[in-house]
Amino acid sequence: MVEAVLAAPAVETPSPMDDALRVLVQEGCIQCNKCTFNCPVHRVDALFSPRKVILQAYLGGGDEVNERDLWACLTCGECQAVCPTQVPYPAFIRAKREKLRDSTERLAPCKHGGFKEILAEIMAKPGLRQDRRAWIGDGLKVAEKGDVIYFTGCMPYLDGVFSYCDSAQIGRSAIRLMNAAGIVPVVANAERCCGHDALWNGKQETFEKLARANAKWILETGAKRLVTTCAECYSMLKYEYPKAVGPWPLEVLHMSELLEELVQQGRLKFTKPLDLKVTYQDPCRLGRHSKEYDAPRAVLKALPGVQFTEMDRVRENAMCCGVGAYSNCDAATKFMQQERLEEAASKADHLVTACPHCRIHFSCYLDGKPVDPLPPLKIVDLTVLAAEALG
Amino acid sequence: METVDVSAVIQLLEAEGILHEAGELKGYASDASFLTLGVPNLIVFPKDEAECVKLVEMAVKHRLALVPRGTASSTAGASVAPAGALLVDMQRVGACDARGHRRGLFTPQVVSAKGEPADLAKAGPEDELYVRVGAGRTSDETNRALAKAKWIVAVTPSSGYSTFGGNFATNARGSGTPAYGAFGDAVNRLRLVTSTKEGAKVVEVSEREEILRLAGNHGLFGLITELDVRIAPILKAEEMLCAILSIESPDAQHLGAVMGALMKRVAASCQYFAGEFLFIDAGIVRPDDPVRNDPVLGGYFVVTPGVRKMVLVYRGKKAGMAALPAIAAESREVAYREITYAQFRTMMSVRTAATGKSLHRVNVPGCEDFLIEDPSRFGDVLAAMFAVTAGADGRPVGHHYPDGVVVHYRPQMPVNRSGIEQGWALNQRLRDAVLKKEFTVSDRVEHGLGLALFKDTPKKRQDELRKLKAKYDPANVFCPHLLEKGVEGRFVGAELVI
Repeated sequence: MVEAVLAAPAVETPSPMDDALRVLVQEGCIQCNKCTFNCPVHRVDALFSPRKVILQAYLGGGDEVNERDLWACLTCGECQAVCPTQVPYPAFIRAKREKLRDSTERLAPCKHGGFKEILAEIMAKPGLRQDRRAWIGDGLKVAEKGDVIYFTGCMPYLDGVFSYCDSAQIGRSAIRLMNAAGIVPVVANAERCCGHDALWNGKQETFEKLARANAKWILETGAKRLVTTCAECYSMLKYEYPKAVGPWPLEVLHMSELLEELVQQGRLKFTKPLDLKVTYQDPCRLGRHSKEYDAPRAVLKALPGVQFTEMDRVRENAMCCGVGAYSNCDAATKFMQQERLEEAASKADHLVTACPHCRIHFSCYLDGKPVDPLPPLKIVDLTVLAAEALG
Repeated sequence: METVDVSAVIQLLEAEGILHEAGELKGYASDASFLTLGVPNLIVFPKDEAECVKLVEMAVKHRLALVPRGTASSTAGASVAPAGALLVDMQRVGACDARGHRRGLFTPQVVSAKGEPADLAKAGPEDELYVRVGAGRTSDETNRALAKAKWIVAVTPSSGYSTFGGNFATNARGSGTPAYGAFGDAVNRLRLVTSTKEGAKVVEVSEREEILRLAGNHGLFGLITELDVRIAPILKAEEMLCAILSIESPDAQHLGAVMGALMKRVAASCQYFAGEFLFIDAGIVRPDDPVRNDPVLGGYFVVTPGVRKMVLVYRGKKAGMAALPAIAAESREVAYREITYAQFRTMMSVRTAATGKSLHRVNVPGCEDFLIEDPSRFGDVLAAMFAVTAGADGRPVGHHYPDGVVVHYRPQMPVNRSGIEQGWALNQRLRDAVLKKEFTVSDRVEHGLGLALFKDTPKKRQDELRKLKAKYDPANVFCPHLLEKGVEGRFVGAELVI
């Protein structure tokens, strides 16, 4: 079984303690505070401290996480990435949210009117009928059966809420790229939400329902590979589904990994110079959660006319886009986004992401009223950029 | 806060707009020791020197005791507040913008020994340069900012994430100490908010002897707000020598004697920036840690049951380390290998985590920091140490400094009261076994005395501390408990919260 990098490894059960605390103590916090210094939330809210939460949990037997601390965490994993003993703080928070979910006042922390949470709950229902292909449009080929599935995630629904993003463009670009390489992907009406937000926001049962529903149709297709353009879907399908649904005999790829492979095999050629200065945002779920740092960079370097410059904080040290699983978005988020976008704007005029949610959160910030003036900066999805380079 | 209730203090803080948190603050009940003096009920987060001044004025006026705290990554207890004291979190001071937000990236001001602005791009390796940094900044952050110019903070404790104010308060040592001394030796100027009988006063200290007297202050004299901290050029790869020396033996006494003799020769013949050692056991890194598959380093993590394996790594200038290969070759039991700087850093990461790395355990300090002045007694100390710690989780790690060998060891115990008390008891047995004059061992040299300040400081230093206290804190608002008898005893036992 493939283990998610940020998930807690299976270990023997120690003396009686709750699941969350068990996750926490298995690596042994040394109270060094490095997590807190590197936490993007702490930098704008001195009262928020992962180290403090850990000590409270130890001293209080695990029940001492207040609602603010429970939901302010982005589960971005910067804390774990710098932890000398790799304490799995995000996994602790995930377990804690599951345990405390029903006892906290804020039952639905999901922003945007609870859109994402409601969507997941609807999709977890049996007998659901969807038209998930209306966005595809003419000229793009998709199939009912085949070796490769394109798992769109919630992308078809996003434009109904985040009108400033045209998220469906990511899907059209993905199909166009695959078609150009001779791949006709399966896009299924039976697809459900991957369950990412449900899992990270403490709704394990909903996640498992969604995973089982998706596994059923995915396995029935007999596909050998599944490709997604979403970092969150990728981390779920690659690392969490095998744990939730059992044998998982297909290869899960992020679109950047497929593109890198197709370019290496000579099946895809980028011919149109783009003349852009770009930098890259490592999505937490693709980077720290899944350790995929190289493929997106390889794709960017393969695009003609793209001048790629790294930001100062990259890969495992990359700063989060400011929102995790739509559980939080407040003034602190805006300051985090300002800091990260300033960093991006100091390097390039386009910030490329490989997750539609990073793109939404940054675009949302730019669409609103930035905290401080920012140089012009465009937020672009990697898949869209690659499709533009097809010519 | 025996004379003012918490709600009254909160009103004062709110009137001044100083960020604070009140309640049963278990998350601030300890430092890196997991042991407590009590659970604080009020912590303040000043964002700059001006707010520190307001705090001190408030403390003098209302007879509040202030306990400054950096990252509280120390284990000496000085950053833990006793009941009734006001904890002052200094992490934001000089490290955040006007809104109070800390920036992940910053550009430190570089100054000369005279305090004049200096240009790092034009600096040469022999220039004596400092960064002028806020007390809440850390070596990690500063090193990231200096990396492009190929400079680093000269003295960086293993906890590169501890604040500069905290490093000065404990007079911490670490990487760079063999060449630059303790942290206090690397500070050229500092600003602190002190008390007067009537209120607060900002003091700037640049006289070398006075800085050295203030180093290791444990928060007794004021709130440090800014320091000039020595930086050093990063050696070029072709100038640097990094090496691993390893030895295996079932006999700890013999192993220690061999390595102690070797370290003595190294101290006499080599100039180095860092000398670090660790004992490797099966649990020191996870089974899936990539270091196990490293073609060069992986072999050091293969252990044989019943055999102790010690690894000693050095980093220095090639010219200063020329004698090292020959010294290593004098013992057939010692394997010598040169490694890259990146590999050295990987070993340092393992070394940093090693004191606390054990599944389902927390590390319990208490006798985790002692100096063996004569390295030739290293074998005797190890034999005594391993005899006491047999069967317990945890492993020794430490530093080789020119003035001796610092050993860190923390037993690792289950996270419950019984486990931690067992760890503490083990530490007491360890103290009895190793803190002996004939072993030339002295206690708490690197992590500072903290709560043991009164008990373990020589009388001469106690007198000096009292004079400094009278000079900088005549109102006696900063950590007054540290100069009381019996504070250390309250650190554990009756007041243990778990």
